[in-house]
Amino acid sequence: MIAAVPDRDDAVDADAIDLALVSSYQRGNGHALAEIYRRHGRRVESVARNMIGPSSELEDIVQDVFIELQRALCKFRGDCRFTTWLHRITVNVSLMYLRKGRRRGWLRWIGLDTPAGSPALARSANVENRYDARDVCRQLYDILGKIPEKKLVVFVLFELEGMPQEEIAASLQISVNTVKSRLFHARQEVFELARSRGILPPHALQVVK
Amino acid sequence: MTTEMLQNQSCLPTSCPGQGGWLQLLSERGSSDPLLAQPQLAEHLANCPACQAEVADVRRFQTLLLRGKTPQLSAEQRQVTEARVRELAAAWSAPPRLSQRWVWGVAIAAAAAVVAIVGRPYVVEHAQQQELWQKQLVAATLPTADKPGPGIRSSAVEGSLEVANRDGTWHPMQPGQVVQAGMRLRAGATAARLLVPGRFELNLQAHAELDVLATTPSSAVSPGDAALRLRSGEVDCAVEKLNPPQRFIVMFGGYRASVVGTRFAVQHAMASAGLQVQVTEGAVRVDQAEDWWHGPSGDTVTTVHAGQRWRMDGGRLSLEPMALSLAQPQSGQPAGVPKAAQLSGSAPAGAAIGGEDSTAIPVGSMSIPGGAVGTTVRSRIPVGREAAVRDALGSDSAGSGETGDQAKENQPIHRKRNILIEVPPQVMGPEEGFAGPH
Repeated sequence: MIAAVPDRDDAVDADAIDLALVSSYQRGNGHALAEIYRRHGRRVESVARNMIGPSSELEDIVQDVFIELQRALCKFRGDCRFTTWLHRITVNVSLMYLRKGRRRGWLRWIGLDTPAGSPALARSANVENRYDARDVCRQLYDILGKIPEKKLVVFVLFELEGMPQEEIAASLQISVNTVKSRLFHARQEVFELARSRGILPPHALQVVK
Repeated sequence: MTTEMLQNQSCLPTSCPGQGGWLQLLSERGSSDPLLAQPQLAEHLANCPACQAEVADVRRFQTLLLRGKTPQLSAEQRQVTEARVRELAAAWSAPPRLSQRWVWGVAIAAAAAVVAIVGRPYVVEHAQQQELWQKQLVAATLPTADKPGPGIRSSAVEGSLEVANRDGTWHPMQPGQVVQAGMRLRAGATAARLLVPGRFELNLQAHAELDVLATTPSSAVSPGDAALRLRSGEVDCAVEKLNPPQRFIVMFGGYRASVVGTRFAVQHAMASAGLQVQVTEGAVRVDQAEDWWHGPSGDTVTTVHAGQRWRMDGGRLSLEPMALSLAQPQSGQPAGVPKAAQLSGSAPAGAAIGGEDSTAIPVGSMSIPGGAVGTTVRSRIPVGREAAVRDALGSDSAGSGETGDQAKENQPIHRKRNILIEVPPQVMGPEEGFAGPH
């Protein structure tokens, strides 16, 4: 897994643009929110998708994130990076969704009305024909549902979302050491559960970390 | 990999990450493969079947994480979501802070309305009770000239005791006159004594002045309480212990001394620099006095026990032991008693209690000729001359000439405790805290 780390200068520029958009919105320019969505909608969708797993309600969750964002934008004072703050909102909305027990219907994620799906799915289908990609995703999120919420968040953000530990710590407002500790235990628990359930794929891909 | 496999493996402890170690090692997100960066690990892995199995499981686990990713939204779904967000954005025209203010304002107003509606009966009832309470309080403790408060009849008045008139002039108090709440009393150039049998006894030193705040046992505010406010000078008080208990309160300066069934002396010395309470028997509670009828505020209460001296001087509170001669009442002293006027001659008002040139000592129970009432008097004598003064005071009280009911009525009050309280004149103004008739 290769984490996409933006260039520092680009990141600084991106932060400045984010702050300008937030400031514009706070002054009453509603269209700034649409621009924020254009810039960060994919990131929000990705975090929410990895948090909740396959769900037909992903669109609603993304929309809920931006509703919460709209309510909270006036409180943003630039104490942290906007993306960090946005991750925090996304994680909280996703956790609310999980807590409400709305994690249902995720078997429909690859239903007949759904387009072909992600490149990962296509790749997986090519590599292992016998392995049903639906079962992989279902079983993985079945395991993730067994681990505590705090560990789940760290594991998903790091292993599935590819977020750096420092950014996870900032988003969750915890220390990096806490992130490492939770990640260690979460990784161990998920690994042991996957192995005990016999759901590890028969052949391994060459993984680059 | 099972535990047995791990136990049977031939891994070297220094190079084998062990169970779980491979998972963490291979999951680290680094720039290079740890097997390439650490050749000893690769060498160990090539020779260890258990570790090979463990690494294989880790790789399969990583594959699972890759394959298990949830699919992204389709382009159509993203368009729908973006359209919804744009609707949100279009609906936004004013800063939400302003709307939040309105929301909070409306919420607070609604909450206030609910509280007003629900709590109104309680508020009204409480206000009525408070009003009634205040009326009772005024009636019981601060009577007006047209409506004097309840009182209790005195049985003996000695010396130059005077009562203030409504116009501010003074007239002598007569024996048998009712002592009422709202009275202002003072002693003239000589000492004076007032006895209310079964209730209390006051000995005012020369030029002492006090207000009577409450005397009645049927006070609506605090049944059985009695209260004085010493404005200047010095007064000795003896309080009979009643059943139910009667609380006797002396306000002095900004403080209050509270006792039940005791005997004590209060002085408002003109030349004193601070407040002072000396206790020779029992204990007295001293606290800051906002209102005499209220309970003491817990953080300002000082209990002064026998042998202690409470002193407030220049804003500094001290509680220190008294001199031994002051702490031990001379109960076995001969009973010859001079008149209060005579005592005042040896105890000039204004001399500082415990000062450098004088001291105050209780000299025991004595009877006063003419009044025939046994009392504890406190005299002020120069330091080092206590014995001489006691000798001068020592005479028999048998010559009082009192017999029959008069003597019985004027029995000395027992269970006495001696307290000395000194108040500087600058603590209280001439008209402070009193609204009664004069």
